[in-house]
Amino acid sequence: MRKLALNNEILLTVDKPVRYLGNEINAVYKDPESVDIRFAMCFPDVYEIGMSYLGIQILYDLLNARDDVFCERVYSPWTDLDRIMEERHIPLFALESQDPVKDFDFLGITIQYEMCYTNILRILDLSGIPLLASERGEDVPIVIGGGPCTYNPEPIADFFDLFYLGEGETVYGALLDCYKANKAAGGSRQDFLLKAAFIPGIYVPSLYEPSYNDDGTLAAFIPLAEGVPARIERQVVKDLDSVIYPEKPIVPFMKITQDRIVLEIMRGCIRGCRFCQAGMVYRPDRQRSVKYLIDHALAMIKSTGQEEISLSSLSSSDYAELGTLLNELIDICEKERINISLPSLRIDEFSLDIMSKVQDVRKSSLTFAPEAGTQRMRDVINKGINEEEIMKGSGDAFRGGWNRVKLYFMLGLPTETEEDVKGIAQLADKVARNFYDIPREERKGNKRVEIVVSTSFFVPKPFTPFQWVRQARSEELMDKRYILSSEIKAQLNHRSIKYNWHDFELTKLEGLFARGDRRIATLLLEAYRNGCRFDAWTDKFNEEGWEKALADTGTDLDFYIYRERPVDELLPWDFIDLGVSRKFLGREYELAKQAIVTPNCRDKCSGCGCASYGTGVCMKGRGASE
Amino acid sequence: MKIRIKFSKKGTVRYIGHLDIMRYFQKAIRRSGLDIAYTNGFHKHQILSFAAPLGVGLESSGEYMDAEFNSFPGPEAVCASLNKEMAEGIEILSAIQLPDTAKNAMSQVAAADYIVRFPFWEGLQEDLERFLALESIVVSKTTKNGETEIDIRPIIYEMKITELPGSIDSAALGVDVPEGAEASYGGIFMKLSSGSRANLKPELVLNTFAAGCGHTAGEFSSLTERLEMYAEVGGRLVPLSEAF
Ligand code: SF4
Ligand code: SF4
Repeated sequence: MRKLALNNEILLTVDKPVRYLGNEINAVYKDPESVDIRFAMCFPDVYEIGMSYLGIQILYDLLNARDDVFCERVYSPWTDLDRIMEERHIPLFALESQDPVKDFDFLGITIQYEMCYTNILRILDLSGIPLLASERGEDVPIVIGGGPCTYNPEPIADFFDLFYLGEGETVYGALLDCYKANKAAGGSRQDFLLKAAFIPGIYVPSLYEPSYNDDGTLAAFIPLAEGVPARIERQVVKDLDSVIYPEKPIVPFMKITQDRIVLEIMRGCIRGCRFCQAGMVYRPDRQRSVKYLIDHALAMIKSTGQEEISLSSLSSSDYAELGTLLNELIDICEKERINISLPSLRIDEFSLDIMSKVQDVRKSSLTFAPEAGTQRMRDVINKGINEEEIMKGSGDAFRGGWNRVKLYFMLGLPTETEEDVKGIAQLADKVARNFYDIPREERKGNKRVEIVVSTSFFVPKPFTPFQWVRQARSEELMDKRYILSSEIKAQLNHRSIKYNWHDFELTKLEGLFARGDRRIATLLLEAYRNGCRFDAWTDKFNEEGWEKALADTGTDLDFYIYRERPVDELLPWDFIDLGVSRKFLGREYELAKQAIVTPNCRDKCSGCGCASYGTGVCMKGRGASE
Repeated sequence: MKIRIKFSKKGTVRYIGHLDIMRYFQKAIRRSGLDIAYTNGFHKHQILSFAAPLGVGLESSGEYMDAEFNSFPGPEAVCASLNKEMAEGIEILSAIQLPDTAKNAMSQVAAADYIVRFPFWEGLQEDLERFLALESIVVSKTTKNGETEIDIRPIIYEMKITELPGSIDSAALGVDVPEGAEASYGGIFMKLSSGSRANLKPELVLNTFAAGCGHTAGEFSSLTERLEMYAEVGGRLVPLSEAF
């Protein structure tokens, strides 16, 4: 029998022991003695969340493709096991070998959302790795951070030995070679970090030092070692067809959040919505070929036996050959009796036709994300969707037999007025009227429509045109939510409209971590000591622990989030060369204030700076401007 | 056509629950390319049913599922195709074609054999004889409708000390055996009523037996394995693989 890190009694005590077993179909096993590098790849949340994330699977295959590397997976133990591990001093282990993480060469942590920061500290602590990088010796793994949150790594910079800025397919090879060479030459941890700092895209926080002005703003950010680059360039894959993509993804035993084959059709997004960090940090838009995608879909169907396949991208409707791809995929899936799920499609005639082929219309609902209730507000955020399109899309859908619609909005956007908030309710009501205006026999006999309005709270993010704006305070957000729910009740069709909202407790912390600097590390440590864990889980969120930590560390929220920043202020993330220029972001911010929209990358290049990567939509040769 | 498949589940996979095992087999059958039948409707499902759920933590060498196939390539071919797709610890043991009139395994199950391995105490042999000599053994059982009392003696069909195959070590047993305690480990074989009429779990029998002798089952690590499942045919218990 394979060995397990946890004994029988523990496995029978904890909820869902299957989380901790490994041994899934397509998991990779190697003899640890036969490799030079042992890599623990971690998603700092529970198994079913972490396993649903495509990026880990890509890196897992990429690293394991090398004979000299054995890459294994690590997830956060759920709170029941966490307690047991702490009480009995059981070190955190990797799923495949069940060996302690502490014995690995690397611990790579993917950071997808800010509210996992205390879980990162927990992972380090349970592994027996000192929380602060400065206190780590030769006997613990090199801790690497990657993922979208690393585009402002400063709040967590003290906890990482290095960050990998950009897409994993690019420089991992160079990093691992560098590690091996250093080890062979008898070099120390410090020697390796110094060498790694010269690899493009690698940021070693201990080799840089921030200094601050009297008012608390950043004065300078200076490399401490000779020749270390002052700016770190985000790494981007030029040709998505040329890089590895899973052909044999792991098939978990337990039901996970994303319990299906995931086919990543493209990266980046042409739209440039001004609130959206993903739309900026994954530029430029690059697409895979239909052939590549179909080949991989077939391979994954065969190797997994999954019953469902899903297309993954920021905006699938913008995939240039969507029709060809879907028709081929539908043929395959009918033959193989596989369901297709199509998230992030814009609702138009084409997609309704496709959706009615792949989903049970009576059971499915349609999703629109207008994000704002009035045209003015939508122009401010550059959300290229207007009321006419929503009415046309929903009208077509109602005639096609759908009678459930979800509408997503944000509250707390810059320049938002009461009218904009009320506009959300009015828009929802118009969609309902649209339904009732259609004669019953034309809407496939449906009697009632069900409209679900969901709002989340806007959080300004680095590398967006709104990186300078003041974030709305909790009280303001509460007001807005109240105004909206009253306005919904005042609508003619209020009985057909349901209102869901996200909690706002997390919003301020999310904002603080998104735009914080290195000094925020103290707060994180304090909150962690107060027992804060799994902050993204509403029922685990420990408000008291956070409030106490905020007070005890004297963290100044007015400074970090409730302040409009001058556009010439040095920002903590300015040392990162993301491709998108500060000049472009500033220009977009000005246009936002005037509610002027910017065309998408396919219609016209707006000279954001990403053309320097020399790939994707930027190379389509329309009149570029700068 | 109806195919009855027998499989074993040993080692780390014993911590995988019944629902997950069902999902696992659906995917494995897809990967194997076997010609299984699907239901009609928008979302199509394989026609597949399991004899009886196995508790988390138990091993088994006698699990059954019934599947509807469109074409049957023969027992060896089915075993080979499926075994190629198995995770470590799960093995397909046999596949037989049932007559179309056969009832499904779930409704047939009437009894099951188990072996429970745990450290024996002194005098266990005599304790067991005394236990079995009892005319009734009443225990309280929590059900959906609260506590009820049942007499388990008539549904214990057989119970005896049995040989343990090979030596006992922690890894083979899958439980933590304290240093030096290996020698004390022994096995008890049980044939118990199972299925919809009266489902008796081996833990309950062991706990009741241990408690009656002044021991608690909680004080030692045990490992239970289901060995076989039976149907009642003409008043006799017949293994499910032969019950048609
Ligand atoms: S469409 Fe807009 S919101 Fe969606 S990913 Fe693209 S930029 Fe972001
Ligand atoms: S350079 Fe132009 S086309 Fe390329 S991502 Fe930027 S705006 Fe879009």
